[in-house]
Amino acid sequence: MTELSPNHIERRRNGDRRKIGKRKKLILKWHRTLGLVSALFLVFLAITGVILNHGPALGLDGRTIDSPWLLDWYGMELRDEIISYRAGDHWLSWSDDHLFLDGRAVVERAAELNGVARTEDVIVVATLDTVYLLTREGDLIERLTGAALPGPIVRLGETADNQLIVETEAGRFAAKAGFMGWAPTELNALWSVPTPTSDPIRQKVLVDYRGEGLPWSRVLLDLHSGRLFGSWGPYVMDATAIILVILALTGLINWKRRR
Amino acid sequence: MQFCLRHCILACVMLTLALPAASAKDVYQDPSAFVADAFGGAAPEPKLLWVTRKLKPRVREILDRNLGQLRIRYWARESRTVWILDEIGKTKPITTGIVIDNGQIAQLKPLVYRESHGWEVRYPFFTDQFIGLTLNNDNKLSEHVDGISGATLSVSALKRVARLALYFDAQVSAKHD
Repeated sequence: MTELSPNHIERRRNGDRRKIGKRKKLILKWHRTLGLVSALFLVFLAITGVILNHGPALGLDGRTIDSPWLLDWYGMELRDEIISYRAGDHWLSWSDDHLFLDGRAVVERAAELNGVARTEDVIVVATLDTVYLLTREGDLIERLTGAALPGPIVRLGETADNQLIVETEAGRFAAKAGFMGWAPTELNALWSVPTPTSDPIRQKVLVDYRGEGLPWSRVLLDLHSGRLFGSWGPYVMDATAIILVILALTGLINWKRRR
Repeated sequence: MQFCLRHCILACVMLTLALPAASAKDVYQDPSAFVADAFGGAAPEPKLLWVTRKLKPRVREILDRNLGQLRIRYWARESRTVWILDEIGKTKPITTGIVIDNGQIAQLKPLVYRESHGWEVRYPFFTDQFIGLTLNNDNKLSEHVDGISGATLSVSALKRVARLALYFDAQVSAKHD
């Protein structure tokens, strides 16, 4: 084995140093590039993650979204046509088993409407087997069913002197005071009929209905996982997570070398 | 043989599809008839109980939600009150008739059942357990009611309406005393 001269050893040492320096530069370069590329996603992941962590405290499940484009994105469309009636200056609309007063859902699990009327302080909404009594603010006073009705209601109307009449298969009945009973009658009534839903009411119904079904927690979770951005979204977030691991490793290597 | 098997499968599929439709709304007794029966055939005029701010917290405690309406209709004569209450089992309301006599449940009967499962709660082996029950100070039933496996949510719904009817009865009785 031949002995190496001091110059030779020095050259080799310099070569090794250059090699190490090159690798160090490469790691630093990648560390910087990956950091820059992923910075936006990392900030995004961190913010959505922190918010989701405190979701219950922030009431994210209870709060809903009414942004039309976001709701459209989720494909939250009403299944049924919106059917509306006028009751004085109020709009009563029905769609997807929901009853809306002036575009705001006030009753769930309501059947299709058969008529609407308004007394001095009560809004009366009739379906085949239920009569809903609402305040003008939309609070449900009472739900009249079965024993409280003269029979399945075909239509609802008012006489000229504002007496409320329902038509059933067994004939016509007039509501007693306070809706505490029904008396058979032969009186003629002006029957309540549907009216085309105005655009503002349609918009309010859509926003209210859709908002009911899309909590903030759902959207934030889909943002965090990337699902909101389509089928490639989760892969982008996966890539960001992998980059985060690489950043941690390259950072550790750099730190160790500096020591 | 293969023809026969095909028909059997088709019949099974049709039966399966028909079953939920058949159980979409089962009326065991018309609510008006239930009220009339509870008073020996002639129901008195209905009365109203307003669910005031004072009653609301207890109602919420019993139902684990707000009642969602401002007044409740009931029928009363002497020591007897009758209540027709709707409560959701799993997804749809069960209409139940409850007769309270002297602060005790005299009868509890599901009248209209709309759920696809849990209809066993209609049978006397279950509903008879409620007879004679009262309400404790903490708004619980005085005795344990055995559940039915596969009908847990319907059983819970009926327990809630039983408690609610007893609570409402106590309110209207207190008003008359």
